[in-house]
Amino acid sequence: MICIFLFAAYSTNAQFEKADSLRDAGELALAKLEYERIIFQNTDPEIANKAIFKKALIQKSVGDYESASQTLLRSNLFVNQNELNFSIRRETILTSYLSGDYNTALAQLKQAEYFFKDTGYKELLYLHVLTLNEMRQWGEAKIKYEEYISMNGNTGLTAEEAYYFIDKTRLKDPKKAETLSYLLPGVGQMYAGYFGKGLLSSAIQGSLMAFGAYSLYEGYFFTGALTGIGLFYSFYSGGVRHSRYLALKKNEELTRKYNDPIKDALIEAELNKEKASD
Amino acid sequence: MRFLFVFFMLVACHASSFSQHLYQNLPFFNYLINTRNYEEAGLLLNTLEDADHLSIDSINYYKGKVFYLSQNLSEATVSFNKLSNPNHPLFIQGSFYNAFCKSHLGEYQSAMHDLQQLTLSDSLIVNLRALQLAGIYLLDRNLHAFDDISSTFNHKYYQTSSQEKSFLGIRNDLGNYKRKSPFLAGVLSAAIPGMGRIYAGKTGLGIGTLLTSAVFALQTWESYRKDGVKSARFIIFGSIFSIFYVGNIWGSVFTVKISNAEFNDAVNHKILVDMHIPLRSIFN
Repeated sequence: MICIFLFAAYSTNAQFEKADSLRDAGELALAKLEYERIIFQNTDPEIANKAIFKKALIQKSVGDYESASQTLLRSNLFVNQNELNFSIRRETILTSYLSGDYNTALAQLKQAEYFFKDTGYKELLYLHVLTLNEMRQWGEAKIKYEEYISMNGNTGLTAEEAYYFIDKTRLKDPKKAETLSYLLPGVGQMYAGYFGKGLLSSAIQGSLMAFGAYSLYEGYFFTGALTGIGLFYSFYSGGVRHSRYLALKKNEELTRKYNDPIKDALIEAELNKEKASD
Repeated sequence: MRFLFVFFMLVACHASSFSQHLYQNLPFFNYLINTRNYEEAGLLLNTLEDADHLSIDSINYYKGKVFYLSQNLSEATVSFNKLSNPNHPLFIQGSFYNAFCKSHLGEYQSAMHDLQQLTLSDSLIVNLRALQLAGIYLLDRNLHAFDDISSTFNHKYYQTSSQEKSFLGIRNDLGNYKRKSPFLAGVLSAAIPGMGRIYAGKTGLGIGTLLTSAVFALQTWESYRKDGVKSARFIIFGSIFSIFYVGNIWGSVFTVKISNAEFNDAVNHKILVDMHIPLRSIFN
């Protein structure tokens, strides 16, 4: 019996050693394969989790955040809430955030907050703020940001300064932009924040309408109906779609404008923290 | 004595955990395949290739299989082509997969040769070969050869019977299909704009072309009627209409060519699917 236990422990350790040495020698693909072998051979979730974690770190190190996040999500986290468990959660949040999968990042953040409230969660707080910001949940983000400041001291940007826009976010409603363009050609684009483009659109559609009407008045019925009204109609329906596109584009720009200063302040604060601890 | 035993066990364990033999790695390999981790499955085979020379045929088969599963068919044929021992238990499967990959790539002669050289005893596999060869003849549009081999279809095996029926249906479609003539399409389009496209089977496109041509034609006619031949309005609309009219004749010739190619692609796709299904249900 003792032999069997010794045997298993030895064999797993040897496998980790082999994989680690491959990784250290720069044979990343082979190292990933050996970690995968450990995952396959071990039913003990602690061992499999460790291998998953190490495999994901390799994927993260070459900038493949999406695969790293997918690998980490294979781990079984509903075991002991120990240090490894926390590290896996931290890396899952980080790699999901970096690959733009904010929903996964937020779900993991909430779990980390629940399980590691008084321990490791504190060091994830900045990611919680950043993730909520990207999801445009600024109300909640502001609360987390205040929490961050109360724990880490000032970041050079108070919560009020950082979230100055919160009561008057100028996000555009794409549906509203479309409706406006239906009623008054060009106004949808103006609402979306592109006054010049709106004006041009109005001018083109107005002159086509005028050309159509004038042609009809002069007795050129086909030209008036087909070139005037026909072209007007295609600009009209194109304008509606264009205003929706512009509203979405504006929202993206505004999100960057709101979020980027907060992101910069938080990252700088985190870097300073790291420097201080070195 | 006990220490010696433990030591011996540790050495044995060490040796086995680093073993580089295909046989010991097969469960891991199958796990990688089942989780669709083809990249690492291929890597595993590459590491075994250098260490386990005895299983080289099996390794080449599995490499071909990995390429085939990751839809890299030309690489798959390279690996399958390396199978050299006809008595190897995986040789027959490998040859069938190889022939299928080659059929996909349009290498019909080589695919036929791979299948014909096999010595088969199992009647189901003999039946499967007849089906695969029939499929290749259809892909090659060699209807006489297809008729010869399809006379051996017996609809006896559930794995192949529905595909046998499907092939007979496709053969009839191919026999009855008349290629559309690009020249006729051009003539029709010259007579009535859009007719060439309707003839090619693109009714919506044809009607659209007819309407747009009518839009320009009516405006040209209106400017001729009101302002005469020398007016700028007539020249502008007339030129637009003429360009459109000539371009449309040219376009309908292309539409017919595209329509013929689409028909061929659709038929080939259906044949390949029918070849593929029994292959997977018999060998998997």
